[in-house]
Amino acid sequence: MDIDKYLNDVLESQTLTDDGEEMKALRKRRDEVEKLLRESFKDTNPVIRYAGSFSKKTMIKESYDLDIACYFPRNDDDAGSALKDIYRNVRDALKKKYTVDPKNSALRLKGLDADVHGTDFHIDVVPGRFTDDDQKDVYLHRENDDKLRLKTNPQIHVDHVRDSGVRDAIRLVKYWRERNGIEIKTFVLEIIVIETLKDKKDRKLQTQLQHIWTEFRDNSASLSAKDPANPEGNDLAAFLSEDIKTQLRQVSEKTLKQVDDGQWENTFGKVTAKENNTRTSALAAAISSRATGQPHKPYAEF
Amino acid sequence: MPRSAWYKFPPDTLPKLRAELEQRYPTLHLFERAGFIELLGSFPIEHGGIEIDRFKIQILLPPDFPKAPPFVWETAGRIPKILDRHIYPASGNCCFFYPDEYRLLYPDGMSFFDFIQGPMRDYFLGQLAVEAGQPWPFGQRAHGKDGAFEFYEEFFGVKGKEIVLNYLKCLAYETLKGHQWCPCGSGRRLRNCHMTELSQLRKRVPIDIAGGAFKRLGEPTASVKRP
Ligand SMILES: [Zn+2]
Repeated sequence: MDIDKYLNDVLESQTLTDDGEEMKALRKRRDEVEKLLRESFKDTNPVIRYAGSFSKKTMIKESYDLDIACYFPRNDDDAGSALKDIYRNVRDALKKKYTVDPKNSALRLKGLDADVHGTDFHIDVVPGRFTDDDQKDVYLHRENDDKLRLKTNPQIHVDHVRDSGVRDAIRLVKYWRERNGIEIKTFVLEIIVIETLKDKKDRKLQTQLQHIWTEFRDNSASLSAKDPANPEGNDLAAFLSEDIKTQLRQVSEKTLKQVDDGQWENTFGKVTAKENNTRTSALAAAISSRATGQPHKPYAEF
Repeated sequence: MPRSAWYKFPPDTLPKLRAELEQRYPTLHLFERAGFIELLGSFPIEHGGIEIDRFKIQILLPPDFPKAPPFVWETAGRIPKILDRHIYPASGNCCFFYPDEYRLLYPDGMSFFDFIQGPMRDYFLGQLAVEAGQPWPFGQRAHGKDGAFEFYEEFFGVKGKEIVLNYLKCLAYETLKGHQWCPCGSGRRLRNCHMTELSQLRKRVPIDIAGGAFKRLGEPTASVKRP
């Protein structure tokens, strides 16, 4: 098996194409969100743009959340005077059309109308305010933290990843994280991968991945990450808890065993052209083969 | 003496579980966290060698596992966290069956692999069918109390909420005497009616379950509408 070819096939199968259903739906929602926010904050002019893995070009199909930044000018109180007010006013504006699930700095959008009630739209709106008139650094509110605001520079984050030269490795490691349920945040994982591969940018993908897993297996205790936008300021240690380090170490250990045995498909799965009718008939067959076993009926209550 | 956690004895319980997981489910990983056993990763739904799909999940095995069933969450935000998709809205975990059902049908609990290959896989198969616009393939319970009554009607082999409550009350609080009226409502004496059935149910239904269900279901509160 040509491992790098296989890994490239995995990457391709994880690519959201521009004309695919998912991207179409995301773009439509993005326009909808922008319209709603502009209508809600008529007297000010926020910068509304794609952020996160979409602008970093590291999206994967397995978990394709779209981040939409909504940053207000510095000297403008129309969306709220305190950062906290901005966060809550944006939240309330979004509530007109969506079920809003507040995360720490972001607002997760889900369906509100009966036909899509509770459906996750895979969209996070991130409200913030520029720190000055250059409109580069922003303050983000943090709903669940003692340290109530975070100063960051989103563009530096985007550039750091987009121009890292290791985007393929980043996407594969993200996919590996998803398949194995590791609870590390994307931006922390990206920073670590970039740092770990800084002298190995021209190696084969296979070598890069094995190097990363070896690091996770052998040096998880000393793992750290520095915010590229604020290397001395924001402490990212909180995002690398003991639990997360344990997960990285244990899963990497198993993954290395698999790939040493040549079992790459255990790690990333088989890449098959997922024909819809194969899937549909397999599902029907799976259901009918269970029907005789008297399966339980699902239940729920408040 | 406090009962030791289920996975401490025999001492090779966890290593064995880990080894089997590694073989059968290489993308599910087991961790020990504050007295709970937690599994993270993704669960493939396969049939005839084809991977139909895969769900990202978190499983929590409670301290009294396997007597109490595992808690399972779908963690990719794929299944809407609503009653109609059989998720408890408050806690966000999956609801595979009416809770008493597990205790009554599996008094000794289920092994971990029987559970994930059985009720858990059936549930995710159902979710796949619903995603594809089909009905729940194995049926579904009504939400809240109505679903509980449905289960007990099936389990007792009776019809009607009143009768279910009579049965529960009888199983929880009464010694079976032949001359008492049969809880089925026939107007006959127990010895001339459902004595055999009730004696057998008594062996299968622990008093605390019958009493708990009687209290819960007997309270006059509105139940949620059928989906
Ligand atoms: Zn009777």
